[in-house]
Amino acid sequence: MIEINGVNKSFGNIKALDNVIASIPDGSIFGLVGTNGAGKSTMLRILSGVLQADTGMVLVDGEDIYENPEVKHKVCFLADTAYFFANATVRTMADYYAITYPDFDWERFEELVAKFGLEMKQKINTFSKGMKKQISVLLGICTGTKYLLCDETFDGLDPVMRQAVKSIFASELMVRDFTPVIASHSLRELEDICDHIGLLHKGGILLSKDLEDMKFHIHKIQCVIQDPVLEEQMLAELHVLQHSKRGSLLTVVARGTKQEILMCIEGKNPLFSEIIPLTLEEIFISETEVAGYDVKNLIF
Amino acid sequence: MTSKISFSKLLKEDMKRRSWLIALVSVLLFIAQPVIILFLVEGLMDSANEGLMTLAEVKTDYMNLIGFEENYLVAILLVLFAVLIGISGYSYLHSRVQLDFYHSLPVKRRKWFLVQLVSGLLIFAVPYFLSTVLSLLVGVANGIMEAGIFAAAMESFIINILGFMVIYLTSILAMIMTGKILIGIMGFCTFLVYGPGVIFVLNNLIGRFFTTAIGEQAYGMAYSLSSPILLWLKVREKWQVYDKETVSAWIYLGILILLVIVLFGLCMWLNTKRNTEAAEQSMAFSKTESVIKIMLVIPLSLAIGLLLSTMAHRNFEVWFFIGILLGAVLINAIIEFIYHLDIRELFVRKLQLVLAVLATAVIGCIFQFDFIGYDSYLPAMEDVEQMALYSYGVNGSFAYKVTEDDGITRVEYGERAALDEMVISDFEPIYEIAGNGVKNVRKETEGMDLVPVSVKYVLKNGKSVYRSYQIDRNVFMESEQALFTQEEYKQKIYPIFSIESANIQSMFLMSLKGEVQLELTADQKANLLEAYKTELRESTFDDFYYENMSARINLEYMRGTQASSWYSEYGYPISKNFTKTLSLLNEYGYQTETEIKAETVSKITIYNYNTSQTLFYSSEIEIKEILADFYAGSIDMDYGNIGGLNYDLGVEIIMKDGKAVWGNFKNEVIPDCVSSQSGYS
Repeated sequence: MIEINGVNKSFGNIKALDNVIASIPDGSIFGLVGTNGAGKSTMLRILSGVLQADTGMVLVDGEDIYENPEVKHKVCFLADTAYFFANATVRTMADYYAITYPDFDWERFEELVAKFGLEMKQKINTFSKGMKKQISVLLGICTGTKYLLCDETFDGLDPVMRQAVKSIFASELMVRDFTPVIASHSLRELEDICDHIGLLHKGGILLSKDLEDMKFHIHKIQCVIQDPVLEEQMLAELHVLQHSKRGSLLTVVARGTKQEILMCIEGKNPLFSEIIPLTLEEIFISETEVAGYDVKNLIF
Repeated sequence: MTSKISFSKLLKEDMKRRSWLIALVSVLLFIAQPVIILFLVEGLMDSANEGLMTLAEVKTDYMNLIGFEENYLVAILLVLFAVLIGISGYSYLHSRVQLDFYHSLPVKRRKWFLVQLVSGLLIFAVPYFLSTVLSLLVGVANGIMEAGIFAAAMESFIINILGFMVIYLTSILAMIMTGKILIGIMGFCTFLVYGPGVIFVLNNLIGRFFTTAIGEQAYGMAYSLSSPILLWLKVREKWQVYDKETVSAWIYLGILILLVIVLFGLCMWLNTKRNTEAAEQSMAFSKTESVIKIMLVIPLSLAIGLLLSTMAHRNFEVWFFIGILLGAVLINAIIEFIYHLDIRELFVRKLQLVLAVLATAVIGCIFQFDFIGYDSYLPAMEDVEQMALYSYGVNGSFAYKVTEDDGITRVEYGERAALDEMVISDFEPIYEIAGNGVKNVRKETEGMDLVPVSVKYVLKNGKSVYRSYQIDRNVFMESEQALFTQEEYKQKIYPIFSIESANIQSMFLMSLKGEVQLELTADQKANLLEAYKTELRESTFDDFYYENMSARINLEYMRGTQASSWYSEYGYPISKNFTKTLSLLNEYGYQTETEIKAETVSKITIYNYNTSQTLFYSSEIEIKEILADFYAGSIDMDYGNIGGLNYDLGVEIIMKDGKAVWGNFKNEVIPDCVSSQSGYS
């Protein structure tokens, strides 16, 4: 597990991270969301030991990572702009990763390179931005590290490749102890892959929650209740996060289990009621609005 | 999972990535060493075969080529490669993308630093060693190899590797302390030139404002220590074959090694302290910004002040202060721009600007108004142990400092070297001179009859102080008259007292009849020298006034112990009162004239050096008028006229027998026929 305990980081007068407290559980795919300048890259660079926190501490499996090669062996960081040596081929870079990460899986790497239609002998400087991203991700996955920190990894990948990478992450999770942390400015990118989300804003964590947990405790209902008094009663009884009415159709986002909410609505004699699925965006809008933020301005 | 990453594997990978540099270093060193040496040795061998050179001379030349003295191209390449390898190895510190990559890998920063360091050293050292071996093989193939040559080559290799290290580490230090390559290169250049630059500015300030400073400021070892490159060059100079046995050669080598160690430690320490986020910032350590800025602003603005005052035709003090104030503001703004690359930041740090301007102005005032009392310095007599006096008229013909290193004699000229050798304990007359000099400091001297002198004080606390003064002529003459009564003084000012006649190769007599070489037997030479020494020892200062002069004697003799160290000295005065010397000369067949008779003169030519005008005189009246005021350079020792001769006009007297006598007039006495015709007064 990665524990982030009160991490602060400033660059001159700019506070990049402000007392960040969070934890990244093992075996989950952790999404780190935030606008540009929210502190995502800084957070990942601290998590990978590239930067040192001004105060606070990052513990990877209970140990400080900064200048600690033993711990760094467990972490691979894929920066937003991947670095490749001048005139390096795919093989040259893999050679270097194999030296620095002794558990580098050559067999898997060659297999994935072939699957992605790349050539081992090809010079990377001839690659497109997306192909460079692919190589970077493949190198990172094949290092065999427990934690893979990806900064805007899906940026620049076409939808097919994006899906392919997501499926590789999923399959890695099945076969080994693997915890990817994916930073992105787009919630939609992370929606179908992450099972834990942290929302960074202005250097602070607004929330960090398990997606299933959030989905279990928050629901969206559409219903028609003819009696306005009963409708008022229902809104008062439910822990409503958001509601709107178009004609007689009332749409409510409320906290609580599906059963609790349905029981409350059924008691008000609705003409029609239905639970409809919430998108990750809607969950975040609801959650952050409660916290007093207009998340639409933050991440969309 | 936790196995350590092999240092050698990282090293190999780094060298693989910098293979272009290995190729470049190898090719250029190969050309600069074995190829060039091969061509030159072939030429030398051809000369030896044709009998133009001996084999020993060929070996010496070959040793010079492979050693320190003539491999300038290798020295230039060494500096270039040290910078190039340093920058290429540590440029990753200036790239955020590269740092994200390197610093995320499971390798400590210290290890990255060492990998790059060792890799850079090997990139240079291995090709350099191989090219040295090939250069030695050239000697072997031509049959001129000797143990001494091999030793010289190895010494040169080791010292050049140390030189490479010191320049390489300096470039690394600059790269670590900065966050942009261009700023790193500027930082490296600053490290190299800052020390010599400060000394240069200081020298000029002293020379400009302190009228009692003697021309040459001695910084000795400090100058060599002021720049890594100068230190290495000094070690090379000291370790040249003929000089390496001296203690100072080992001291300089020790300092060079120490500097390598210090730079290595400093780079290691700063590398661990350097934040990754410093990449792409101008300065990696923000705390150093203001210190470096002020350290640069002060000498540079003083230099600008000096430049402006030098360019000004009048009011140079005013221009100096305008220059330093403008310079301080300008340099401050330039450095701020380099730091922040933002024109709005130029004057944001006002306090630092004010401090820099104030510090510069204070230093300017120290020099302008002599707050430290440099020019008025006159130690209490009881604090002085010894003193020395130098005046060009009395001492300018002689070289006093003679040193011998490993059989090589070196003769040092200049006031400072002379003063060092001429200190006397009975210094009261010199103290009188100094006192008069201090009185004349910063005084309007127009119209005063002054003699320039230099003085050395050796204080009882061991300190030595050098000053130059303008002395009233009468004070100077009185003091010299008093000094000439001391045997110690004469022993010090005339090197002839320590010369044996056996060491004298030739003697020349300069008189109004011109110069003639004395053809003497060994006994005659010894007798003449002994007589001259005796009369010189007993002489008074007045004996050498122009009107008392008869001739002078010039010597060519051996200084030091080496037969090759011949040295010529002109200007031992023969007074008319040196009767024994003159009678011996007469006995050996050499007469001296006491005056130039007008009837023996064919014509006189006057050269006005200011206007390039040439005047000719051939009438007897004019010749007589000119001869009356003429001071013949061939016999005039200038003792009675120290500094009083007019050097704007040169006088050439052509005798009827074709011989020529050169001389001058006194300052205040220009014959009417000359002044009326030339307009010179």
